[in-house]
Amino acid sequence: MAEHPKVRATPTLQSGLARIAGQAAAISSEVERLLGLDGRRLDGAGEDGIGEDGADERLRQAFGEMQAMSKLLAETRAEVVGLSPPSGELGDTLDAVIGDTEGAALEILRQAERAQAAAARLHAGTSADTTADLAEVDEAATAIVLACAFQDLTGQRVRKVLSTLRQVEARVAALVALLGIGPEEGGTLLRAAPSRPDAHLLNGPSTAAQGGLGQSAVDDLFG
Amino acid sequence: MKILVVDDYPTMRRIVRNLLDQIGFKDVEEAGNGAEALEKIKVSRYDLVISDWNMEPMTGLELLKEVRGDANLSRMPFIMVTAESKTENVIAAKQAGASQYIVKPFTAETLKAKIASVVG
Repeated sequence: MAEHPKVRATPTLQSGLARIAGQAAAISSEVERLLGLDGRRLDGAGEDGIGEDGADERLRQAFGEMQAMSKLLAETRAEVVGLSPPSGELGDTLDAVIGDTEGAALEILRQAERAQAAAARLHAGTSADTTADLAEVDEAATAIVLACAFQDLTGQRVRKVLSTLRQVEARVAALVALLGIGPEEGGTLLRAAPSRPDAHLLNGPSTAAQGGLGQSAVDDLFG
Repeated sequence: MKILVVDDYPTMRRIVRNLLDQIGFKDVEEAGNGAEALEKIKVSRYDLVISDWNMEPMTGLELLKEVRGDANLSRMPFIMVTAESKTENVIAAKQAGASQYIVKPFTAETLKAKIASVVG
């Protein structure tokens, strides 16, 4: 099924996360290697003349900072790895939801139009077979009822996606805390560059709690 | 009266077309986004445009601004029918020159009343 523009897949997300995790691992390895070097230098500090108090203290501080950096990188890498959703699963599930709802909506519309046509013939007195047209309305109503079963499937699929998103959300929060990113800085990092003049107005459906207005409130504003 | 229904969801276009048919408007054409609608509007004359907002590659608001910026089209009735229901959206559409604003989901009565208010 074709991807709908209102539900964007993020094909670069996983490759981006994998790249970050890889880079973190590479940096971590490099820091570990340097730690080994510094440890050896610390062990032999007095032998080559650099064991003076000032130089020794600076070396110890650098060693401590590198250890902390190594720990941070290892934790970051673990969070990034945990952040990666199963390959393609979320997008596929949401695509299936779109397919289910679109299929059901089209079926309901088709059956409603079938019933409307039969009812119009009955109203106009042009029905060639009133019993058949009444049956047509009845069958269409039954088909509409059956088509509404899509809600069970889409509900299950959406719940599954929600569960995964909540896990990712918790991981992101942990990663943000780990990196010490403040709310303002985080907002700047995460805010996508607007792709069109009204990008900031494309919020999608909003509940009343999210600031969405009902028709009467819209009418009041439109005046 | 010739009406152009603009929405990227075929389902929604069909719903609006069905409602328009029930109200009595039979001459209805469709477009899948703002750019497609603009091409049609520049070729054929329409008495009313009923447009969604959130579409690619051209949104309903961009379409509205194009229409209002064209001297030949600037007076064409334009009803925005959208799920964008925040105050900032309604104000932006009003400032851009929308004739009416309908929030999804809507009723046949609302559509009928808004059409009546813009085309008399």
